Amino acid sequence: MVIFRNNLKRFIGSKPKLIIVFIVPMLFTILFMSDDNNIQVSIAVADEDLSVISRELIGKLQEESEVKIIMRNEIRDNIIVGDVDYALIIPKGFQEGIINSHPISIEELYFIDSMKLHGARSFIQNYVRNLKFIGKNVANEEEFFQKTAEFEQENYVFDKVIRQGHKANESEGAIGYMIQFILYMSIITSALLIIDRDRNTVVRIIASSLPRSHYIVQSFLSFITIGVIQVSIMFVFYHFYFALYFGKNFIILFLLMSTFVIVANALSMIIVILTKNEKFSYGLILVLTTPLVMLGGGYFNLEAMPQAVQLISKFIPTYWTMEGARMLINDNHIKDVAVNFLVLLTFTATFLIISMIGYKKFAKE
Amino acid sequence: MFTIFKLALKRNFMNIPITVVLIFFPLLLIYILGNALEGMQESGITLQENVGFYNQLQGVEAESLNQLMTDDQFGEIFIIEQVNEKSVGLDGVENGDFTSFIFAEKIGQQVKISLVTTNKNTPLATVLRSFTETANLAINASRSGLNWQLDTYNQEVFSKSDDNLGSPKGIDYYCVQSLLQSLIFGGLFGIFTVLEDNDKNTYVRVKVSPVSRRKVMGGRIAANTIYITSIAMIVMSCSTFFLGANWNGNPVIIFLVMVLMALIINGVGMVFAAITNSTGLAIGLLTVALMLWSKASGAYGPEPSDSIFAVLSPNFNAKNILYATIYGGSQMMMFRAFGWMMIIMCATYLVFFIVEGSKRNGDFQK
Repeated sequence: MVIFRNNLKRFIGSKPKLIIVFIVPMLFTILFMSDDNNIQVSIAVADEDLSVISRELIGKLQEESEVKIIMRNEIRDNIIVGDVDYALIIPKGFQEGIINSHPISIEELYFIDSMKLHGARSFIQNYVRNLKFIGKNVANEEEFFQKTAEFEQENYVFDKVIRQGHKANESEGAIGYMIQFILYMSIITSALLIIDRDRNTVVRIIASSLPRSHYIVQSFLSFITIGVIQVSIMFVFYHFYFALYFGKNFIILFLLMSTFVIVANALSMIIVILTKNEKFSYGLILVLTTPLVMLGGGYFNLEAMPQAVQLISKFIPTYWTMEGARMLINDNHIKDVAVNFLVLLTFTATFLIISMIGYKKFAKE
Repeated sequence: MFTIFKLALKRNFMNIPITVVLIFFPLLLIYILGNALEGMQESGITLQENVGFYNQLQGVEAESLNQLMTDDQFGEIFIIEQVNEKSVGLDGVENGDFTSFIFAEKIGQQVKISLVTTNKNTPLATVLRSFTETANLAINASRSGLNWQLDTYNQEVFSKSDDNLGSPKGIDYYCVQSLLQSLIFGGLFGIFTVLEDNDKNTYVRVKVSPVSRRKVMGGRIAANTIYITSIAMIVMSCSTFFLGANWNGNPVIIFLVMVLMALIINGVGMVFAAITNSTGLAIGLLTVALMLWSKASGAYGPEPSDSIFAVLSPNFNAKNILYATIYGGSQMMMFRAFGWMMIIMCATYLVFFIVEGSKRNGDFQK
């Protein structure tokens, strides 16, 4: 297993490769998974009334949303560039209008009409309508605040408790990142074939007593070994740093990701053979990785995509990997992922056949 | 210098595979990302939660809460499952069957509605808090002899602002992000510009020629900039024509932004190449930059960062200028973003020339 050992030594001896394959994925995951503001609504409020009621409304909103207090003329810019999801302008005379039952309303602005705004809008609607009801039934401002305090007497109490629990979507997100970096790793390792060809290592091997098939098989095995080590390190990192839960059948999940390592390396061999140039092969995988992971459902749920895109994604190995991972994280039965394994192995066989056909010409060049 | 520029530009455009990929990839990204993110926003699929519900209340109190749980709008986002015991719901949260668990119980004269959740930003909290406040109002009002009526709730609370923002579709909004993200790949040409000199001994030939290195670099930078800008223009045209994307801003401003982005991206590629002297590592750093800058500008979802890190990202500033010109943002925002892009561009090329200058008298053979 001379070629196998030698490839591993070449890989371990290259600090840039070690950093990109082992360290960068961890740093990335820390950066992307620490940002959990995905669902929280961010609201900009221009309070032109500066009254007790307007301040109380803002205080209530701050309990569950991210609230930014800005001027009216800043709202448009904030909304357009996406700094906030939703904006409110509380007009001057708001409190007076509520207390004296004059028609008064809050101006709202949003750019993207999203279900995300629903909760906040409902809350504001109910809160203001409650105040208007009180306003209709009082004579003056003093009575208004007296009644408000009286009506807040707690017959109903709300309590919120946050638990750690298993967050399946975080674990699924982690798998998405893992898939992305497996693809990067696969091209870094497969590019050794180009380097060998350019340095005439392949010629020397052919001239030696070592069969050509041994060179390819041992090279491929070395690439897979590096990939499996990468997967192992990433799982250990996810477990100890993020305390992620990967389901009761973790061993099967590990096998699934290892199978994807084989698929990725087989795909990278085709890319290497087609591009024939180390730089272009890096460039191509850089460009291909994002759509492959996206179409596989690695970044977001495929159910939100058009039907045509969902159909196309079924012809991509990342889709079957993510689906299998999702099922295992959500503790589906092992037999549910058997099809995923079968499909991934089919992809592997197909990619390997194509790369073997192309390799002969590649080596001659 | 013009000869170098012409040759470099011709070589870039003659690189058919990369040119096709650089045009096709952003269009694919615009289509996928635009549709996916629009679908997610409309359906609220990212908000969907499995929610366990246990109602220990009786009579009218139970009915009003049950009504809330079965409300149509409520049901689009939350998948409610009633459980027979409190412990079942709590276990469900622990083992991940439920994201949230709501249970209502009477403690003396008080009704306590508890929400146990693994999602600290769950919209359920807002909904239940609102329900609790309204229930308190209704009960206390009735006790005071006031006729609390549901038709108070037909009054409109909101008015739509006169400030017409329009309602962009997903593709309209994300075409900008997707294009900027894809342009970062243009940094590959910056990398190749620097490292090809070492690989093919071009550097030695350049040093003995009468053309100064400054002119060689200048010609290549100009060629790469024109190339990347042309790619951007082609993508914009194709996305407008085939995907209906909205690029209806000031064309001069849009063109200037693309030129600046191209200059910056090319410069960044050259810096990475000059620092690392390794194609693989330079491309790795470019990948890191791609992901960081895209995230800072909100390319993976409409939640950009507003930290100093975001401000130093060319994507973030380019995005602000483009959205401002397309959707009517303020001139101050545009000027500020242009200013930052100029600073980033100057800093990038300053770093490159410092690194290159320090290596100039070194060994040219690699």
